[in-house]
Amino acid sequence: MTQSGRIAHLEALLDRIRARAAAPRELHVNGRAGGAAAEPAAGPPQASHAEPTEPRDLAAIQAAATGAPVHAPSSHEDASMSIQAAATGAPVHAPSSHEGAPPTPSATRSQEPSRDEFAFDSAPPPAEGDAAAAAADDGEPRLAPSAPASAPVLIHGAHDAGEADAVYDVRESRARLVPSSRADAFFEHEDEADELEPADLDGADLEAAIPQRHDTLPPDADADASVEPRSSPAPTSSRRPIAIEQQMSALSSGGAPIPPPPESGRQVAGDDPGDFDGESTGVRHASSFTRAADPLEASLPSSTLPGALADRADFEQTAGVPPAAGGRAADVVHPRLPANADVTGLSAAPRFAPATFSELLDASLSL
Amino acid sequence: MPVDLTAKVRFDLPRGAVLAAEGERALLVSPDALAHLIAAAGEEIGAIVATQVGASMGKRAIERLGGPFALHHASVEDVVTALAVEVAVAGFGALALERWGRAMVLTVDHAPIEGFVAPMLQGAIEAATGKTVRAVVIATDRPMRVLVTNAKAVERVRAWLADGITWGEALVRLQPSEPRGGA
Repeated sequence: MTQSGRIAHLEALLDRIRARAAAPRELHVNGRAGGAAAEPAAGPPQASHAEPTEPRDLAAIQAAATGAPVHAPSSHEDASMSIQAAATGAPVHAPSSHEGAPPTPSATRSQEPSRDEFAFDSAPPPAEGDAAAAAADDGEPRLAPSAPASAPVLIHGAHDAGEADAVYDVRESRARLVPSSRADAFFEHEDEADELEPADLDGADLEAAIPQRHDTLPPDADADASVEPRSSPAPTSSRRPIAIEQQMSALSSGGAPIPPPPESGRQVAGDDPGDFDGESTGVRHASSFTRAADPLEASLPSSTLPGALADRADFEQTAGVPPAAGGRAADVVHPRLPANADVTGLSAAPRFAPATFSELLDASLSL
Repeated sequence: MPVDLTAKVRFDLPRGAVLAAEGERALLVSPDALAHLIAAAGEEIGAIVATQVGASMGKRAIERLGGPFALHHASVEDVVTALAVEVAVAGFGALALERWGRAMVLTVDHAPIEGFVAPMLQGAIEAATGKTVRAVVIATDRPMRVLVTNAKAVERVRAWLADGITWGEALVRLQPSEPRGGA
């Protein structure tokens, strides 16, 4: 295949991907309460996307394992395989419109519509504008969901297993649950992708123009303009695409998994403190609330009032009060008040403490 | 103050005598017999006898403390200990002291003869300190409580007790109306 032919083939693939991404999809996010959120796609992605989004799938698995809100893609079978209908208990293998899309090495990761990332296609209806995707999926058997679209879904993840195990489960599940014809189609695309390896390409420019399969960097502005994805502008959102290699290497080395990318539009504080807008972030507001509450708590410790009352009781008991009727001797507790105590309304209580027997006898004789 | 009871009471069997300290003879008499004797002699005679018994106790206590000067500067605990030893050796009960405000109250537990306690303690204190005191029983339940004060206060307390006032309330009323400075 000539270079122009390959470029044309790539463009055709990109067109298919755009058409599939631009197609409105009925999204079903069903929680345990049975609520459904159907959000059409906000629009076409800003850049082409065809490669399976393993990082987001992994994020979905991790989110399900930790009980965190679901941040999982809707357009991948791996995530769909992790969904199970809670009503029937049967696994829901919901195909998505992107299922079976060929992993194109030349495709670059880019900004994705945020709505799609929180949705699962448990029952993807035929959507308009998805003709290209439908054409690509024609003849492919779909795994119909065993639960209605409105049924609550249960996100299963590696609750007890480690993060690395969760990743391997995803891999195994894919191999196990993908229908044979669909798997063949997948591997056909894999082969097709292999054909796109720049082995027979001449010139380093084209090789550099085609990013690697798991390249996480946005296309450079000075890349080959003939490749359309590379001419796309850099994503404006703060969303950070994460490659599966990074996740795998982090998990295999025992380190903490790379957190899933934040939601689109969320302000992420930069490393430079000068870039941090403290006036519009919730974190800064939360800390300000904390500062306001600290002085109140410090001014009134919990033990202040009871202690003061106890001291007052001691004063009343020992302020020269004669022994109570029927009680024991009143010299049980005697605070040693200074003689020159400058306390308003509280004079130094005279305390009779005879040092010798003669003093006590004289006091008793003086009654 | 350590209590040394060595040779406190000696039994001289060849002579058939019981010797107290300093060779003073003592008698081991049944409490019941002594009680009958005091009852027969009358309250006044019985008080005199008890006072004499107590006086001997006071003298022995002051000797134990080292003399009148030492007793004047002795602490409350030392004097009470010395007196308690004499009372216990004589078999008249367990002596202790309570201070209710400014009032001195001696308590005697296990007293064999209740009517003998107050005059006995009165005689012991007078003999030990050389001061004229009066003692009155204000509570007869165990332990017996004996107020040691002056004669006027004793009369007042007796009047209150006769009116049904409890001994605690009597001690409260006995206290000075205005707090006085430290003694």
